Amino acid sequence: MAVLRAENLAKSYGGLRVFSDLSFALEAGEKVALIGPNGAGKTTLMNVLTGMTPASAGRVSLFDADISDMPSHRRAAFGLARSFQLNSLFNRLSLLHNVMLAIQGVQGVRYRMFRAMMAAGPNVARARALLESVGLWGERDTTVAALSHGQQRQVEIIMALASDPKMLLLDEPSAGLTKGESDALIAMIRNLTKGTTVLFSAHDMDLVFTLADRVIVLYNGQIVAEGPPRDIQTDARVREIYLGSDVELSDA
Amino acid sequence: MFDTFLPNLLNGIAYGMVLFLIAAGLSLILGVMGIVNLAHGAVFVAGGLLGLNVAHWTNSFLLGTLAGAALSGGIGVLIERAFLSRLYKQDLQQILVTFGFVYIIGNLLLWIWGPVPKAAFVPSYLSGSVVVGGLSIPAHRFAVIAIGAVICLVLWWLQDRTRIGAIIRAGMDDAEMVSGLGINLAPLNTAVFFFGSFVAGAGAVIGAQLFGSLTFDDGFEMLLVSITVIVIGGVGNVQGTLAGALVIGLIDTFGRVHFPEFAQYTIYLALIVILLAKPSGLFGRKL
Amino acid sequence: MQANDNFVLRWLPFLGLAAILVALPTFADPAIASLVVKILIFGLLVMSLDLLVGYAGLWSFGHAGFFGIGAYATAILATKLNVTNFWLSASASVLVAALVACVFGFFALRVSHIYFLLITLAMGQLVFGVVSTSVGRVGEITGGSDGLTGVPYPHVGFEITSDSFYYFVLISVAICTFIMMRVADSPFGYGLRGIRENEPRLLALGYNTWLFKFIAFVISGAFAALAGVLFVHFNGFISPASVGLETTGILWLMIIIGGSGTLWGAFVGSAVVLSLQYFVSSITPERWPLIVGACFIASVFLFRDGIYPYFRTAWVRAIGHGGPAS
Repeated sequence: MAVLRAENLAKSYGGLRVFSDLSFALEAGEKVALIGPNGAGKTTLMNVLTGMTPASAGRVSLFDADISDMPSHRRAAFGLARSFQLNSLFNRLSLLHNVMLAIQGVQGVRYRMFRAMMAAGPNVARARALLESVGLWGERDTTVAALSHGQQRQVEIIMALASDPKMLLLDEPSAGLTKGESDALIAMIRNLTKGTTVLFSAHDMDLVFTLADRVIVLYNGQIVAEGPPRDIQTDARVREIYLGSDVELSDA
Repeated sequence: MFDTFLPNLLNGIAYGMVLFLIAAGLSLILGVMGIVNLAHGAVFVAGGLLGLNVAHWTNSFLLGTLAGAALSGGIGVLIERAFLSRLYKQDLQQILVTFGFVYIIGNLLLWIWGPVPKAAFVPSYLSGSVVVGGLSIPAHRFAVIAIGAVICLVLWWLQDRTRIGAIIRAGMDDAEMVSGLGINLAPLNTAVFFFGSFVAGAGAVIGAQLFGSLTFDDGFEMLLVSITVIVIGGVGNVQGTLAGALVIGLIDTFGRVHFPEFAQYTIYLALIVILLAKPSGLFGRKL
Repeated sequence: MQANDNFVLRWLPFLGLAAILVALPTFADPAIASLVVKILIFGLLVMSLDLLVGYAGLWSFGHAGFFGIGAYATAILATKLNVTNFWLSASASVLVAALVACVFGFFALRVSHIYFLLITLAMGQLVFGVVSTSVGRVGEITGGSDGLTGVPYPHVGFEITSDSFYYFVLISVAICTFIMMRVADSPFGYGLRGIRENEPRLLALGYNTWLFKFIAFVISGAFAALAGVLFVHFNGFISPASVGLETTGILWLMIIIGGSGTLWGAFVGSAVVLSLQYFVSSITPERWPLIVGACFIASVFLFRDGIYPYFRTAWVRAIGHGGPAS
């Protein structure tokens, strides 16, 4: 049974067709990279998969259950989590509070009104573990807005992982990072997603070659190639697409 | 029933025209700047009170209207330039500042003009009546409708056929794009505030006859009615404001005649219904 | 021992304040005690609004409506239906307000920001319109623009006098504040803050944000109604003047001055504004609205986050680490 399956997925905004007839599936534990030039529809695809935008046609299923009509907050309860291309954090709250909110997202305890959020021992312990894995436990009381961009990016990923999702979508995880920050982030993602099924979009080929078992190439709203990173690297059509752009298909 | 229908209809349309003059400014400000100018009603009354004073003093309807409009416009510019422009992109804070002005202007008006309502001014050439279908209707009613219609057409022309109108409409869609094209938004905001307030002030002097008199308190009620008008009609365009104004004018007039118990709140019910059915209003753009 | 010292130190200002409040009637002028009662009641009312404004980020401009429902319901029960048992009338009043909040909230939460502001404003005015109606059956019940008079002190089983009423209000407000504080620190409370900060992210994390906002709206309305109940017992009468946009405006002024999103700021704001009103009214009552307006504008520019955070930061610096929870 595939973890995430898209069948004949299509999305148009009025007359503008973003993508159509997309079908692919992710098996348990797979790490799949979604690449393609800007405007190919990667973020829109993520929005459709997570329910932020409705699909114009087609089906999305999680563990064979049809989630196409499910609102995004319920997909999270089903085990689907996502990080955003631009940092999307709770800016005026502390780092620890941010992570706690993320952990609670799929727990019934989020409706509790009388007992303090910080009194939930197991959740605090999990928050601690997550923050310590990226060395940010010391900053737990810092307002997130005061952290550096690189640190915020790490938090962005941690938030998506906090609920221990079965299916993780990462939208351009290393966007806006320096080479050093990016390397650190890649290592972090590798460490923290050992058993998780991950679909990530990327421009950064280091990321693709380090993490991906399989690559899907999106161009003009269609999947033009699919396969292990090595094969994609030598694929003629893919070369043609990237010719003239400043993304180099070299490996780490 | 017919004997009351025609006068009520004309009253409703006349009231609608006055509402249009007030609401047009509110709609313009909301559309261009994205905020509700809660002080708009107070600005309206301020212009009305001064304008009526000048009209009575000079015995000139035109001078009174211009004076009132000028004062309203001036207050509008003051609020925008001295206060709102310093709160860039802080919508809630800007709205709260305009709310503060509601209290200030209202109290100043009370201080200056006192609690006794100021009588409306009807120029001698409009003080007669016109006989329509066997009924006698004050000439001023027709004047209000005619003046309102003329101003409405002028605004409509400005909106659709001039460069400034195009800029404003573009600004409503995408303010950043407009400033990216080299058009300075700051003076645009000031102009919008001035113009909207100016027309409202004029509307106060012109329309005072419908209410019989004007007093410092009326601003509040007018604000609430204007909000209803722009939400029902749709924000940001002349057609919408006109439609909303006429609808409210007619509902309110006929409502008071036939269902006096609900007089206080028929329009709020209408507002809520519209906000739910079509939040962008009859002619509004998508939110 | 360290933890205990820390606790006492952190809460010292509040303990001190509590002590003063408890002892107040013994040393203060009855007029001052009366002012303090009013401050407490409005503090509760502002706190209920702050749950929406400061926590959930909802711009509610019709809040005086719920206050009015609570006050009018109690007044009607007392003067028209002869129901004076406090437990009964207060529960009924709060329940009515909560039901109205369910209906209003259901519709208002379909839109956001400016339109939410306008629709809640309209809803508040709807309540105002209903209670100011002088015509027909409705007019008889609500008393029209004159309002309803003759509301006695609450009947709680034993007799409440004007002296014990002070403590009655103090205890009631203290209990409500305690509840609100727990809500603020709970997962639900942080969920609301998340909505204010970044609603789309919260949705992606699994929170049904509409439901959170709806629940907050109803709780807020219920507490506002309770403030209305206490107010009408305090005042003895209620009129439409207390139920309209002007009152909502004063509440917003209190939030700005005191500090939104802090709960305690509600009481600071209430104290500042009502004390100012008391002071100004003795000198030049006709100019009070002018002062209110000027304060409004000054506060927006001067008090980014209100007064309370200044106090909190100052106290935290004074004692070292770990200030009271906000």
